[in-house]
Amino acid sequence: MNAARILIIDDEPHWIDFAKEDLNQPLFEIVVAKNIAEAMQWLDENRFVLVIASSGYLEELQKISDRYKMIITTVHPSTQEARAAYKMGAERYLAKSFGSRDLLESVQEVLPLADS
Amino acid sequence: MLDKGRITILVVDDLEDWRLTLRGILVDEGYSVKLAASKGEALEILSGAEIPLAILDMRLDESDEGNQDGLVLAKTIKREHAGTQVILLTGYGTPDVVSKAMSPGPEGQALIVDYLEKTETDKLLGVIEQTLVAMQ
Repeated sequence: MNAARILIIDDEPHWIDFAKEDLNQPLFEIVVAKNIAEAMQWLDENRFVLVIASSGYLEELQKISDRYKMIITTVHPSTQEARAAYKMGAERYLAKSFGSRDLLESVQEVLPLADS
Repeated sequence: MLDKGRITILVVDDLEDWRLTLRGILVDEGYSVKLAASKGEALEILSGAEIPLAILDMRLDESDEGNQDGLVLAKTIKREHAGTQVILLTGYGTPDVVSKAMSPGPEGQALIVDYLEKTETDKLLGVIEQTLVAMQ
């Protein structure tokens, strides 16, 4: 069975390290894009089952929101941003909570066939 | 084009001032309106009429800070009145509340179709219209 390929779009090195560690599972293949241009190139050239993106990219993500399942992450959660993320079609809106298993749990909920 | 006079909107809020304010806004726009002050009243109205849209406050007991009866009611509406869409209008929202209400469940549908804070009632009519048009 092929690994589920997941694209992380973020420019915060500590969060990227945490997310990669948290999602370090045989069934996931993690790819990181540090900006939206890099992300679009990855998305054009490869198949992804999930995008995990910083909320700073919400506007740019509108263009591709109907094609990918998305989890939006943020350092400063707000009701307005949460609403915008869900209206865009996001599956989850998560605070960047280092040390919690929220990210892995959310990925497992969104990709129910991927066992840990 | 929406035939607003034929559309009944249910407003659920334990605060009478809010119920009357919202009724005024909606009636002025041409909608028919039913008011409920509690979950029980809301469910009674829903079982006796065809109501495409309900606007719920989250806290339906002002004396209880942790009250999230609006979310409980939204779950019941989703289960028992699938033809009714819900907008949550609250003064006590948090990002977690928005996530609980708007994240898609296992069947893909969220509990509510949209979320507004009570400081944003200027956006309410636009959100209602978008919701009703999308339902057509």
